[in-house]
Amino acid sequence: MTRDELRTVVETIRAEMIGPGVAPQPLSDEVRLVEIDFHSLEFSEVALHVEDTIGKELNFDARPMREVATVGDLLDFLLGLVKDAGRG
Amino acid sequence: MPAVADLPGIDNWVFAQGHRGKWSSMRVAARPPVAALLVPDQRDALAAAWAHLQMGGVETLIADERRVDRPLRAALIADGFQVIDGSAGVADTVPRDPIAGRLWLLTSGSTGRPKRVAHTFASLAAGANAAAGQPHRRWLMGYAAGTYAWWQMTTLSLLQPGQDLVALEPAERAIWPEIAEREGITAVSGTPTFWWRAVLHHWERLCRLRIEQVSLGGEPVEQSLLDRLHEALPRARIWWAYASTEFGTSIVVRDRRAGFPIEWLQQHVPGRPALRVSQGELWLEAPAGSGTFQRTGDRASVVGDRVLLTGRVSADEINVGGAKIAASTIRHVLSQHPAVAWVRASARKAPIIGQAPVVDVVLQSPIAAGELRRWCAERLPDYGVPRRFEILGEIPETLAGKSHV
Repeated sequence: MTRDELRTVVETIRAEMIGPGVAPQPLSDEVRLVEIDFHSLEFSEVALHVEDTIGKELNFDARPMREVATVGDLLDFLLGLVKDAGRG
Repeated sequence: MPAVADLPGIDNWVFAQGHRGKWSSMRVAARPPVAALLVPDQRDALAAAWAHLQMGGVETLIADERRVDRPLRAALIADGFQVIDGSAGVADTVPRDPIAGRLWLLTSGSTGRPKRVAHTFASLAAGANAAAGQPHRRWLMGYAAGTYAWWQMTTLSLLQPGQDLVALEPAERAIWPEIAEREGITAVSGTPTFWWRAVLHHWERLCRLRIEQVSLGGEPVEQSLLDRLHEALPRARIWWAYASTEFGTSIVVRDRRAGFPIEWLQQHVPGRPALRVSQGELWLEAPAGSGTFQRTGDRASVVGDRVLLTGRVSADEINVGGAKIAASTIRHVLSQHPAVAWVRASARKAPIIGQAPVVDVVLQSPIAAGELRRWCAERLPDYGVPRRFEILGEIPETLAGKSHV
């Protein structure tokens, strides 16, 4: 998956959180995750979407998430996981 | 127990896999005194039940051959059963004396693997005996051979006059309304999955059937299904039964509502086991009248004036980052959406939180997954909102006609 595809997943989940029929709004790298109510449940949901797309399980716990504060941080983190999953 | 020749149902008609005749015309094949009959179809299953009665004093297990895998087959042989099935030969069994009249049933219980439960014809016939005085009916039965519900219908047909029986093969369940119309069926008994498939895929034909009696059992029954059945068959009596294979007892609800009245928890009624709910689980008095209560493993929730039975306790808990939600709660919430026919809620392994609730859904009418998510978000805590929605085209059905919600 590319960084843009991962961004689309995050934007889609954010739109679903707001309500049905809400079109996904662009989320720039600078957007802080607390501002869009992204917490552990939402991180896990994004991970499940990614797992279903790449067909592989992602394994990580909460510790590295402490460094993830923005959408950009999240995308970089997920990109790393996807690459690691591809090598596994 | 009357002699076989005096059974009130001996002249009832039985239709199964090419057999069209009275019980009395069924051929009895020779068999060992202790036998596990692994049958390929309903005709052989019903013939095996008839033979058990005809022979008297034998010990019998009847099961669809597809429910019995190699380890179970080996266990039966080790326990002295002559296993009779479609394969050639009879395996090495050390013969033993039969437990006279013993009928063994296989039940999945909470593990999913069949286990053996002991009965007799008399213990299985209690429900049939309580059904005396029924008008003449031609029943269509959708239960797997040898199961508790199957025996309820079989004993009814054997013990009550005027109760013909049409037994469906598993492959026929998908087209049962067509068969019902052809055979002049006036009563139908099947699992909720069996009924939902008719509602979703054969609505017009279902509405044309001249059904006087609708019976459901074997799985949790949702109000939405009862309402749809009443809409399709407004003149039919609609009953659902909660039964325990293990304890050989059942309760029948006749008010067209899901669950049973909360008043039943306080009542002792002859012929009905006493009931309790403790820590979200249904307990049954077994044997009836004994004062001894047994755990059923079934989740029970008191909602208003009803006690709802929503699934199995063992498969129910989802631990979402330490916060626990019952899969049956998620299922119950989603089942109340008018567009939803069937729901399976389960735990999926998820990073960070350990488990995430996810659902498989079959719809009555088109709706976006986002709308279902909003419905759940308005009724459940955030950790209980399903994180993945899979919309299925059909309710997945097991060999036993259930859908393992």
